[in-house]
This record gives sequence, structure tokens and C-alpha cells, in this order.
Amino acid sequence: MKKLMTLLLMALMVTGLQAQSKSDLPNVTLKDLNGKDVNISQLSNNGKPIVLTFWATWCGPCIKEHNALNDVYQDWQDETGVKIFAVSIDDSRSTAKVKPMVEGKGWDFDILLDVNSDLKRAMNVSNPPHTFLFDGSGKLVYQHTGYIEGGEDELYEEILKIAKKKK
Amino acid sequence: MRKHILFTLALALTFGFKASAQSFLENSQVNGSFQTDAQYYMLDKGIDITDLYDKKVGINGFGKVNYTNGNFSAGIRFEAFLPEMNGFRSELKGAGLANFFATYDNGFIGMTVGDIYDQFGSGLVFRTYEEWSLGMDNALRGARVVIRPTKGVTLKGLYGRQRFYWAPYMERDFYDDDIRGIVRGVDGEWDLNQSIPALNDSKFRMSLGGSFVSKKQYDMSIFYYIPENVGAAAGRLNLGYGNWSFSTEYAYKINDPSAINNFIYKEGQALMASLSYSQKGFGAVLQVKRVDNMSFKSMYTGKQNDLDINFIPPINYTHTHSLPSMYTYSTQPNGEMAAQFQVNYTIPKGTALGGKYGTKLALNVSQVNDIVRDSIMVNDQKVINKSGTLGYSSKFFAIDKHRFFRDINFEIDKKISKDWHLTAQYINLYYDIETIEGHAGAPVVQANIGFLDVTYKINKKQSLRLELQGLWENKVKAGYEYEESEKKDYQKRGDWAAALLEYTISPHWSFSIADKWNYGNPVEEYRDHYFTGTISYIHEATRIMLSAGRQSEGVVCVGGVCRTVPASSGVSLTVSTSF
Amino acid sequence: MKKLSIITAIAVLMLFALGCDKIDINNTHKPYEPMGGSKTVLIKDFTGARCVNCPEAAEYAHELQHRLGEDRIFIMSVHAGFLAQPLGQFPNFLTDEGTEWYNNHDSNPLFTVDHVALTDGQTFSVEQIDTPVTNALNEVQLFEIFTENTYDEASRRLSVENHFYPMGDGDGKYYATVCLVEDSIVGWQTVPGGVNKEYVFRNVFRGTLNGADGELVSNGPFYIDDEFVTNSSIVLDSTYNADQCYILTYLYNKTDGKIVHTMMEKVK
Repeated sequence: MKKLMTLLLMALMVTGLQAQSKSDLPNVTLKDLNGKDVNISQLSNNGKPIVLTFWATWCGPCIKEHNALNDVYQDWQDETGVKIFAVSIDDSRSTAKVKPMVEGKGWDFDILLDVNSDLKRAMNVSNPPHTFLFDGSGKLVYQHTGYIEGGEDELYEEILKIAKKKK
Repeated sequence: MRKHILFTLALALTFGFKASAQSFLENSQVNGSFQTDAQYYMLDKGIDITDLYDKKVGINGFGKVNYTNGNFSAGIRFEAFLPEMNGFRSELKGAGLANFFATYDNGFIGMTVGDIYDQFGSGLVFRTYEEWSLGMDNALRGARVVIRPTKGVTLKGLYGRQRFYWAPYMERDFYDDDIRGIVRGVDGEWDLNQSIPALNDSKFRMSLGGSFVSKKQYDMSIFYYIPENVGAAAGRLNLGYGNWSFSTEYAYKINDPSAINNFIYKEGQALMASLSYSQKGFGAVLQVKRVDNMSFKSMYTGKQNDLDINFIPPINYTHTHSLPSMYTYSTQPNGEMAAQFQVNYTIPKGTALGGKYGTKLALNVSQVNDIVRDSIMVNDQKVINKSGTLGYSSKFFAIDKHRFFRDINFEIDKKISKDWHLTAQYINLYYDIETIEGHAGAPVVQANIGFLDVTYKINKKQSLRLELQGLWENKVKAGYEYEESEKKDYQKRGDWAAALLEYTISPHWSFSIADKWNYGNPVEEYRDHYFTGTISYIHEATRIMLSAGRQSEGVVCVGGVCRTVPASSGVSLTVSTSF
Repeated sequence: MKKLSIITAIAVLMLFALGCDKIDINNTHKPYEPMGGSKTVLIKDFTGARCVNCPEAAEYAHELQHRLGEDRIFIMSVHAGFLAQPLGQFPNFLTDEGTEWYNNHDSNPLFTVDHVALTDGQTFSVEQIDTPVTNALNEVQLFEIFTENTYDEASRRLSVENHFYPMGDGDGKYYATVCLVEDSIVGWQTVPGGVNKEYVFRNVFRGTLNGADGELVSNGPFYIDDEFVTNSSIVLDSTYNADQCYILTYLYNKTDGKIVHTMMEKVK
């Protein structure tokens, strides 16, 4: 039994190494602020980088991170065309508050609602904030958990790397 | 012979069928995560910890692996509590395979077997989820089918038995003490904008949904006839027009006598409605809620949060700082009338009041009262809440004078300059601790709370943050006359002051020291300092956090579901990563 | 497409049909049906004088005892844990054995039925004891217990001689714990809304005569004609009311911890 498992594991690893994953974006469907279904695996930004962030209205560092990202979002978009999708893991207690809060704070991101943590589980997020960066073909390039003042700079360096590669 | 076949098969997998297997394996992905939270406890006479009861260490850990390949995905999760940390249910002690599932979903039809997490509408009749920080997991182990016959229409059906700590999922035998029931449900949702082409890009949005959930439980009561099949139904409507949104959901449950409602046979009802308006820079929302006897568990003797089938969301503000979150409201399933109003506004940049970067303002008012309960006549006697009867009658829109909770808070969030950022909040709190936490006889908490949070960016990589907080009770403070016999009820009462200093070096390091001081406790010996020091290191998806010091007794709440954390002294370590 | 819709519709309707049992509100109480058998059951109620939910739970247990037979069900209130710690004028009913049995649980009231609990190492809340009590009453009685108490007023010394008679042949390791219990003690008890200064404490566990784990009665095979005897003694504390005291003896299987029979006998 053990031998079979070892061999299968080796096989998986070898194929894993060879595997050119089409996309790292999971097949999970969430709703946007207008109630429209959005399938994460089909997110596209015309070949430009995609950033997926996880946040909640009750998560202080998440709000800080998103305020900081919002301040530089326009500049980032002008330079690299990156698109940020902010996934709220607020459950039904706060769903109704997400839209007024996002608009009230003047955030420009596309907001998605993960009311029962389906995407959070699929992407192995333990504690928000957690940010993922995907290149134009949906491949995961960088991720970081937690937010430290100035952390968005490291994220931007990674975005520039992909944007430059395209050119 | 068998060994030969297996070896060949493995070899074939690896090399032989590479050509056709390539496209199948191209989409293969393996990912996962693990986390360990550990605490080392120490004696601390200063805060009355004189006996550790043989528990020097608490370790909570989990590891999960997911495999995805196109439309197919599967995963397993292993958990260990060796033993569980303080504040977590002792039923968690142990280790084992806690969760597994396999799903196939091609967009038209989807099927999941194993442990299912799902929510119907707002969760008023069905929600299964897990929350690691609460030690909560009410997953449904069974099967779920999802059908999307046309665009915008989703039908779901599920069936199974809920997780109850480490209790095995065996079929019930007459002499088996495990009387967990079975849960089954169906849900349908119709999003008009996605199914009616004319409405695809309309300013007018509408969606409807309905669910029906029932449990089958076993009547093992000596005194009462317990209904074996209990059903609950819910209907929901979401409307939107331009900047306006309206959503509502109503749920109804038939007789469900249980330990939570004192074995009354009244039906249960819940209604939630919210109206909001949002435009760039301004958002406002009004929410109201009524709950009457809506605890719904798959075992009628379940206590606390065990085996909840549904989820009744509380609709009040969630505080993030330590002093304002000391008294967090948790839903009262037996009855509550609640309302919340919130406004978010950004004073535009460049204006006199807004300053260079604009100023964000937020106001939130929420209140929860009890429902009105009128006595009923049973055998020519007036009774209220008596077991074995209908319990009471309650007028749908009546609000009782008994107030459970009220929170009025106002927040300013302002970026003062390139290097300085300030957030300040004032909270006025009314908290009926006797009802919410079960502290019999304890006086109501009426307090003014405030905090100031200032961040200074030293340079591009380093920054410093200072947090100052204060909590001032109106009545229960130093000098308050209390009964000596009830001393222990005053453990966290009275005035508090808290300060935290955090130094961060982007992108990896964070150091902080903090102190919480209960300087105004009416009981002199409880006026303790709770010092803590924390170091954390983050590298991409890996996080290591080490903290030492004293932790005061408190509550950890996520979504209105709470876990009490007892006071402790010692060292904690958290390591988490995902790959 | 049509087939799928029809199947779905039928499934939903079936669910509706199965989904609802409405109980006639005039008929919610079950009639009393005497339980067969002769085995007795011991309910240990881990309680505390400052535990606000304990009086109600104790009352439920007593109703159960009243309903199913006071000669079949025995209740022992073991004061232990944080809410039983002496404070001010609240009575102190703590015992070393009780604290050891309570084993660091963190709330009251908690129940065990014949030492059995819900999951490993856990205990029942009062609403959950119906099933285990019914199950325990249905089990076969393995032993008969006869207790002989000899009490000397002057010295306040109580000598207890217990005789254990197997009801049939069997095998196993059995221990017996002999407990002193005092009934009807008046004192302070926290109740919803305040303190009842004249609460009547029933069946208060005062301590064992032979240790928290009891003593060995029999190890190995035993036969229907056998007789096992144990002797123990205790001097009653001057504050105890000997008229209200009784000895409660329970015999349990050392291997799985389950109590197989219980018997009580008044001191005087």
C-alpha cells in the first residue's frame, strides 16, 4: 500500500512539474454589488495583471490596506492597467453594509461578495487581509498575508515585473 | 502479481500516457494551507490564576490540501487539538480527519459529496460554515446537487448530518446516545436580470429566492412529545434601482421544542429588511430585524452553538479595537427586535473641511430590544414560557421596553499629510450584560468609549503607530457599592485605559507592546495591568507571530457567534502558511 | 429539461410532505409508562451554590426521578468547580473527591449518568440526560447491594458493611465507592434574579468513605452464589445532621468506568 502511495505521489509531483496550469483562479462563483454572478475562474483583464484581495468590514488592517491601495490605484492603473477585485468575506450580517461603506469611503475597486467564505476556503486564506497577484493568463505570481504600512509598495514592485514582461 | 500491476500503472501515469494525459493533467493543481496556534500557560497571582488544572499548553492546528482539475475538485482537512487552547470547547480535544469533500461542477450541474458548506439567502434557515478562531464547524456531511437550468436560475438540494466535534457519523442505533438528526433542504433563486435579456443591463435589478429546510430528529424525551420532522421555510427578495437597494427575507419554522426555548411549542418567525443608498463618496443604510424563537438545531438538546442549522445575523457594528470590542453583542435566538442605521461620507479632498486628502466620516447607530411576550391561557391559568405549552404570544411589530443593546458611534478617518494618518472614534454603549452573557444580577454596562489611532511614516519602509483607548462606565466604577458575595461578577467592570505602540518595517516585520489597565474597577484587587509584547514576521503567504504577556478575560466574536476567552498569562505562537 | 424539472418538483413536494410534524398543543406531555427492569441508576449532578442555572437543572433531575421511580433513580449533588468555591455566606460543600471527579470542567450544571457522558471525558447538560437515563434503566441488573449501617450517637461513628451479590455468573474487575450524602441542607443559592437565602440543597455529597476511586470488590470470574463484603467507617462531622444523612454505595466496572448498580441506606 505504502509503495503505491509513494509512486502515485511521485507521479503527481512529476506531472505537477510538467503541468502548465491553465489558470490558478478557482471555479467559484460570487456575486458583485449588483447581485450579478461572477465566476472567478473567468475573471479577465485583457491580459493585464489582476489583484485579488480579501477583506472584511470588521478587519482594521484590511481597511487600512484598502485605503492605501485606493490612494494609488489610479496611478497604478495608468501605468500597468492592473485591476483590483476586493473580495469581502463579510457574512450576511454585513452584506447590506458593504456597498454603502465602499461607496462612502470612495473606493474604486470592483467589489465581490463571498458571503459564505467559499472563495476564502478554495484559496486557503486563513486570516484577512490576504492579497493575490495573477498575471494576464491567470497564473498566481505573488501573494502576501497581513498588512504592514508600506506593504503595497512590495505588491507594486511585483505588478511592475509582470507588466514589464508583457512588453 | 498485484505489485507488478500497480507499478506498471504508476509508471504509465508518469510516462506512458503522457500524450493524452497531458491535457487532463495540464489543469491539475494542488494547494493547501496549515496553521498552528499554540499557547503556553503560566501561573499569575496578580490576575488570580493560581491553578492551571494540569493544562500547561494548548495547541490548535489544522492542515488542508485541495486538488483541483478543471471542473473537479476535492480536499481534505486534518485537525488537531492537543489539547484545545483555553476558551475552546473541551469536546474538541483530539485529532483526526475533520473534513473531506469532492465536487464536480460543469456550470449546468454540480454535485458535491462529503462535507458541505452552504448558505440559503441570509442564512435564516440554513447556513453551514466553519470559523477556526471560534472552534466552530457545523458542516453537513452528505450530498448536495446544484442545477442551473437557465441563466439566472439556480436550484440546490442537500441532505446530510452535521458535524458534532469528533462524534462519528454512524447510523443511529436504538441504544446509541447520539441523537443528532438529519437535515435536508432545497433552495431556488431567480435573478431576473441575468435570465431576462431585456433586463441584462437595466438600472432596475431584481432577484427572488425561496428555501425549505427540514430536520428529522429522534424523540428520546421522557416528558414531551418531540416532533420528529421540523420544517422551516424562507422567502427573499432583492430589488435595486440605480443607487438604491432594498432586500428582505422572511422565515417561518413550525413547532420546535428544544433546550434553548424551554420546550415550548410555538412557531418561530424572523424578518430582515434593509434599504440602502450609495453614490461615490456617500453611503447610507437602514436595517431592521425581528427574531422570534428561531433557534434551529439538528439535535433538540443541543446547547450553545452546537449543531446550529441556521444563522441569525446580528445587525450591529463590529468594533476592531480591544476596548470597544469588550462588550460585543451576540444574537438572542429566542427573540429580539433590532435596527441599525449607518452613514459613510467622505468630505472631498481640496475642500476646507476635507483637507488635502479628504476626510472619511462614519456614523452608526444600532439598538436591540426584546420582543413583547404576552402570557397565554393554559388550563384556565395565565402562563408565560411554560414548557409543553405554546409559550407566549407576540405581536409582530411590537417592541418591548427591555433594551438589550445600543451602540452609537462616530468615526473620523483622516490622512493629515504624507506621513501622518489619524483615526478617532467615540462610542456610547448600553449593554445588558445579564441577558447577553448570562451574568445573573450584574448591572447594565453604560459606558463612553473612545480611541485615537495615529500612524507616522518614518520613511518608505518604517512606520510607527500609537493607539490610545479609554472606556468610562457611567455607574460601575471605583467607589461603586457592590455585594461582597458577587465580587467575581465584576472582573472586567469599571474604567479601562489602553495603549499600544507598534513599529513596522515593511514588508516583513512588526513589533508591538501594549497595556490594558482596569484602573477603575470597583473591586480594588481587580485593577490589573495586562501587558503584552508581540513580534510578527510575514513573508508572502507565511506568517509567524509570537506574543507574551497577560490576556484579559474577553470575548472573541465572529458574525454574532461568540466564544469566551478566559484570562490567561503566558506565551502564544501562531504559524500559518498556504501553498 | 422537462424531465429534470419534473423530478425536481417531485423531490421538493416530497420534502414538503415529510417536512412537518405538528404536535397537538393539547397533548404535548407523554403519559407515564413504568419502566421495566430492576437496575438502579446514579445521576451525578455537578453543581455549585453560585451557579444560577443549577436550581432549575436540579429540579428537572428530581422530576425525572419522581416520574421514573425514586427507588430506581438516585441523584447525588457534587459541588465542584469555580461556582462552588466558598465565598462570603455561600455554603462550602467542596470535597477532594468531588473536585477530582469534576476533572477541570469549566461550567455548571453538568451531569453524568452512571458515570457515562456524552463524548469522551465530557458530561451532559440536563436536557440531554433523558436518553442515557432511559438506556441505563433498560440495562440488566448485574448485582444486588445490601448496606448495613451501624451508627453510634455518642462518638458519631458510622460503620458501613456492604454486601454484593451477583445476579448471575460473570467476569470483570469491579470497584465500589461508598459515599456519605446529606439531604435537605438550607443555605444560600444563586437563582435567576438574585440569591435564595433559604434554598434547600438536596442530596449533597459530603465525601467518600473509601477514596475517590473506591475499593476493589471483585477481580475476575464470579458466580451467582458468591457474596462480596466490604467494610468502611467514618466519623460524621459535628455540623452534619445525622438524621438527614444516608450512605450511597455504587458498584462500577473498573475497566470501562460504568456504574452497574447503586443503592442507598439511611444512617439512622
